[in-house]
Amino acid sequence: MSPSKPERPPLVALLLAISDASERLSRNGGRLLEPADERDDPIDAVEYVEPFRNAAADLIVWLEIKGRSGDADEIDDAIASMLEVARSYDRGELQARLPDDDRAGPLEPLDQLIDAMRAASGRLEDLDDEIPAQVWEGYDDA
Amino acid sequence: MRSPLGDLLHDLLDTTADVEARRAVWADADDRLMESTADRVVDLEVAGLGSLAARIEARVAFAREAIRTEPHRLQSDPDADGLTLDLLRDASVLVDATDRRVPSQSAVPVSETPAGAAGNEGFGDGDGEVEVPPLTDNEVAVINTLARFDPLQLASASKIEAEMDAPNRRSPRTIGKAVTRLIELGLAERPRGDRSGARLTTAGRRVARKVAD
Repeated sequence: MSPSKPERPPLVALLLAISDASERLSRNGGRLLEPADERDDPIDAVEYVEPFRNAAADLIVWLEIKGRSGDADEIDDAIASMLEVARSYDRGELQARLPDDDRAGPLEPLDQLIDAMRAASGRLEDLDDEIPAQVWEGYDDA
Repeated sequence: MRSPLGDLLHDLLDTTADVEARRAVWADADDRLMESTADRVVDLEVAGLGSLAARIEARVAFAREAIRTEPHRLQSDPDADGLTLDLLRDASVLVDATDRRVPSQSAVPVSETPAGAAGNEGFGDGDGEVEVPPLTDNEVAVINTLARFDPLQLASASKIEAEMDAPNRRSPRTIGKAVTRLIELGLAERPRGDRSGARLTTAGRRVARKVAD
């Protein structure tokens, strides 16, 4: 019998999902936020990141139960920051601005949304390095 | 079973087309929000989860601050409550996750509260008086599946199909017909137009709970 492959910690699953979503947005431009075949109304940015808020809430509660409220804070803050940008995007409050790095051209609102998602994913990746794998034992049993 | 906070959210979503009705719901949303979370917060503190309790309290406080000015803002802008709704959603998501992970010691399930008196629609009313209309097997399969979705989420026929358990799976065409019938019965709605996704109304969720029992 071959050894079973270790399961991916739920925090990694979340950060990868956010990363994938940001890449899809980056590849497809704003089309993901435009009407799909099945609907005549565009999805908005908050709706696009909504599944990550739900998943993060589960992780936050789990970490609180495990007495790791500092780690829960980090997830909470990373997701809240991303949501804030998504809300600003939906309200049309984001303005094109010059980037802090050496990228060419201004950062359009969609770029800022994508950056916010990447930043959240990066923060969760950093956090994952600090949380022992044992903390997640039993997570999927509940 | 939806939490009292989920009920509040759903009442707000159910009245999105009617600003006056929505203002009325917002007017007592503050009390309902407090009522729906206060016991739970104490419960968590007793269970030694004070940090989680504080986190929920903070989100609730944030939402309450926005709620207090909501009826006034809606007078000038019918879409003004979008952000407040999302803050409420923030609180609801965390409470729901807590309910999944930490069994409540003191909270009384909605279905066990005394049945609401006539005209007492909304918070705290039970399922005891729910009248289930005659539904076909297809309609039951669809209403049960729609009940699994988040109250905020609009589900297309293909999403409903994907969510169905394999033995009960129906075709998108059958699902579409069933959704249309549920809408006629007032159990589902397409709040963003006929070509958008569907979700259950408050009445639909109550019937779904009853059907599932």
